[in-house]
Amino acid sequence: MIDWDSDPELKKLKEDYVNSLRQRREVLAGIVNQLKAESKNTPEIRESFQFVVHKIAGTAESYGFPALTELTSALDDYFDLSAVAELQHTDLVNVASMVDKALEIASNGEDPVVVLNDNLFQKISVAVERALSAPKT
Amino acid sequence: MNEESVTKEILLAEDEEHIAKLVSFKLGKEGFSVTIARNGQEAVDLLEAKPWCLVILDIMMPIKTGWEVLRVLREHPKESIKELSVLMLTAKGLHKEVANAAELGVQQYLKKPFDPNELAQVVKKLVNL
Repeated sequence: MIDWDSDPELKKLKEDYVNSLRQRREVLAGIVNQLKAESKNTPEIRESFQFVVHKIAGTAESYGFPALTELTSALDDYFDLSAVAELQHTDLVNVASMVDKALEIASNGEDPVVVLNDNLFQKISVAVERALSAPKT
Repeated sequence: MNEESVTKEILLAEDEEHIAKLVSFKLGKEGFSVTIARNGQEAVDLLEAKPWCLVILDIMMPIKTGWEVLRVLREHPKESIKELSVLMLTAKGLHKEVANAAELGVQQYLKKPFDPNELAQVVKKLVNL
């Protein structure tokens, strides 16, 4: 467990990271606008969306946000499984809103544990677990 | 360069700025000097720059992937580079990737996100400190 306040340089690293999450929120807002404009779920939009969640998944827990990593890792796997291609356009907008909510909480320095209870996340999480544990054909 | 400084030089190939800074900070506190390569090609270019005690490699990097860097390293004509200890630090933790890494002589594989304290322990073990 890292004590982020134990060293000014470490504290600054965490602040920079939290600021980067605010920037990710802006990128995500752009993706949501694209989703709304396109009125469909295109491979390009999915790729941009996955890039955002993949980057967060690989860093958040190291910076003290384990729930944010849990959320974005599951979504990253979900994108990898191509399951998102089958999602309805409105569902993908809802997934983006869920990530935005998590980033809003993390931007205030809190780990967004509450988002893990979201029904949509639970559904995605179960789908990912099933797919990953299914025997390969 | 004396032997003490040689044992503390680490080459970190990592394109994610926040990870690179955190690794560099943590290992710096443990007395290591970390040089950051922002992509795979930069890592290859730096291999001969100085004697390293360890190379830490991300897999998903621009220009050259961590796998490509690893191949260059393992096929390098200089024995000291060819036999360098490698720690893979990556978000890809699938069984297939871990097996590939072992086949290519990777000493340790850590999945991102990592615990910085655990990373420091692993690095110290790898360089026998």
